[in-house]
Amino acid sequence: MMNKDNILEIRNLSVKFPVTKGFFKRKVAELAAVENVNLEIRKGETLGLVGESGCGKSTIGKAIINLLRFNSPDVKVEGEILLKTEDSEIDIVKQSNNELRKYRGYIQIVFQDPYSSLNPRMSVGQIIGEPLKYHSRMSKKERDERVAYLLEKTGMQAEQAKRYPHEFSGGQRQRIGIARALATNPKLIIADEPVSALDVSIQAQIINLLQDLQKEFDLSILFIAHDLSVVEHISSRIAVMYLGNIIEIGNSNEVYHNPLHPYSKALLSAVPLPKFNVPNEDVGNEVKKERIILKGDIPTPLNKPSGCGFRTRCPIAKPECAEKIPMLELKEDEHYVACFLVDGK
Amino acid sequence: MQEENKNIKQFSVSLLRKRWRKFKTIKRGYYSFLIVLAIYSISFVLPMVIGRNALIVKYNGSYTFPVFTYHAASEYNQNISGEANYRLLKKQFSEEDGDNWVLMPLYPFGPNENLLDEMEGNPPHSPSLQHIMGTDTSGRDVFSRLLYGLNVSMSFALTVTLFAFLIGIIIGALQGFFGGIVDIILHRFIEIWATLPFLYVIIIVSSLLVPNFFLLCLIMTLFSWVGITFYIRGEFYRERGKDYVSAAVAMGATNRSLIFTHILPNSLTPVISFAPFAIVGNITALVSLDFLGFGLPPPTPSWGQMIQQGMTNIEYWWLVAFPLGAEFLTLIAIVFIGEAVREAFDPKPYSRLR
Repeated sequence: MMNKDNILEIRNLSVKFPVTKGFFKRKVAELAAVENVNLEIRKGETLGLVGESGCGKSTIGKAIINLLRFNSPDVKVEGEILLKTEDSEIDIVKQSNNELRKYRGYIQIVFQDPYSSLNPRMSVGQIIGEPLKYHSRMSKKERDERVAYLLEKTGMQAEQAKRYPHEFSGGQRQRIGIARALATNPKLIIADEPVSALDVSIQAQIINLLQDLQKEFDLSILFIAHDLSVVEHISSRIAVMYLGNIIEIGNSNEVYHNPLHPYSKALLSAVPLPKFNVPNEDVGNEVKKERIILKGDIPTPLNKPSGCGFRTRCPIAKPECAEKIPMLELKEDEHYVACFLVDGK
Repeated sequence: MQEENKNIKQFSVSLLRKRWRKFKTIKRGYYSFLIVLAIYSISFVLPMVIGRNALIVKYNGSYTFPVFTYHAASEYNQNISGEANYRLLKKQFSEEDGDNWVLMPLYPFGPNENLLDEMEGNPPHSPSLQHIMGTDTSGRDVFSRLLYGLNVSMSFALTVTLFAFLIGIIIGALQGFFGGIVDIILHRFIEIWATLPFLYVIIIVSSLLVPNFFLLCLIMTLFSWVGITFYIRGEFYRERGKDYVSAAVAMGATNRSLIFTHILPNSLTPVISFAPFAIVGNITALVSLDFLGFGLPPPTPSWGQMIQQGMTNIEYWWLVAFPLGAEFLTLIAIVFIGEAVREAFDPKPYSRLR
């Protein structure tokens, strides 16, 4: 049973891609992109998911919306992803593609690249109206009205429904992508790095738009990003991933200003701070942070270190870190950290 | 507001229309397209323009339309066996100066009729005002044969291209969309199929059966669908991985709508840009088969046979120059079309020297 405050619960999720070799596709290894992840998304919240490239954050998003099976048929997804629908709970992992189709309206996705995420042959009206074809019994006219409504909600004009994607800028295309995601009145939106392909002034617009829409449509958002300041701004909680595991999760303010895990500390110290070019030196740059520079590279998920995945680069690692995999433990109020060596206040 | 709407309409064009507009700006290709289209369209009603049968005959107060129906010579009281000869009839009527008359097509010679009875001297006759491209060794009018041959060649090439691409698209799409084992099996099949020697199969078939137009189309189609599958397969693989397809999956689209409304319309660029060149290839293929004598049975007017005849009678220049020239002009016009199509589908606006 799910907690009644949650819209989605992920339990012991592992995603494994087979590594094959030769003509007969002999399986030689297994790449665990995500391993034993537990995560819950509450109703109406924005959960930020951060981590460097290749750590598995997008894989979690794709697993939730069940796109992994389409893009790589050999993938092995284990564990449970429970989604609360109006009258029942379903396990996304166990559903077949056909069974899942009628629940597709509950979760929608906004992609990173606004250029490849819209079909260049369809007009904006057709693009936004398409999910309505599958999930509602609206007539053509009702669909057009809904499209016009969504376009206005996302800060565009209803007349633009007749245009084609190549006639819009990146930011406008991302708005169209958001309008499409909203078409079926979803409960949860996976925002897979929705702003990292946009320039900074547009990023702010899109983030504010997402926040406004969240209030208006009562959405939960899983916000995947690698830009920590963006995530801190929009999220109520933040989860930090490293090498397929969630290593720290907590309230946004807590994680951002008081990270406990050594990796989170290093990650946050890398956030560039604005330096004000003011003659009076007392004003600008009051927060002096020491930058923690990690040694070495992220290990390949094919050959993970034993025990804690981070120990090879951890500044405070001890021999016992190699023996056991640390689990997420409650260190402070709502603040879970997967490390043996740190303590809360 | 009105003004604004107008602007939106004006600027809002689908990709295909944009490409069509660009195609129209490339004059060489656009005019070639219009000319080829016009000549090919006319060639379907060619008996109305060029042919031996009269359009209208008024004989003893009643009208007949020999273009559409068969009339024996005896019906007009003509003293020859078989079908009436309307040219002679016209001459006869005008000499009689009576109420009867004959309206002949613009160029009153059929492609397969032997004109030896009406002409002096031995064939081939050199070009004259009456026979603007002369006659061939059997006394048939070369101009008439050329134009009827154009219809045969173009129809053959278009039919073969259409069906070969259809098969190629279906197989390539299956490979690219489903991938995995489907892809491997179909690909091995294609590799085996592609090693069958086309020319030998044609030689064997045409020594067993008398090849007709449809049989040749069928054989040619069976041997020319392979090339396009590779492109379609690649396009499908590429488009399938794009986010808009993932978005469609995430909104619950079925495989059918993924293939037909999302991937296929975005995968047709190689089809459209290869089509003119495939047509060129198929025209050449039919000409070569006819040249070698494995093509359409005589007396079908075909360019290959005419070129072959020209080669054996190389001293009669009109038997060589006109068929070769016609083929050359047709092929080059279609190549111009192909070039313009490719250009129109090029995303970079200024990649061609003007």
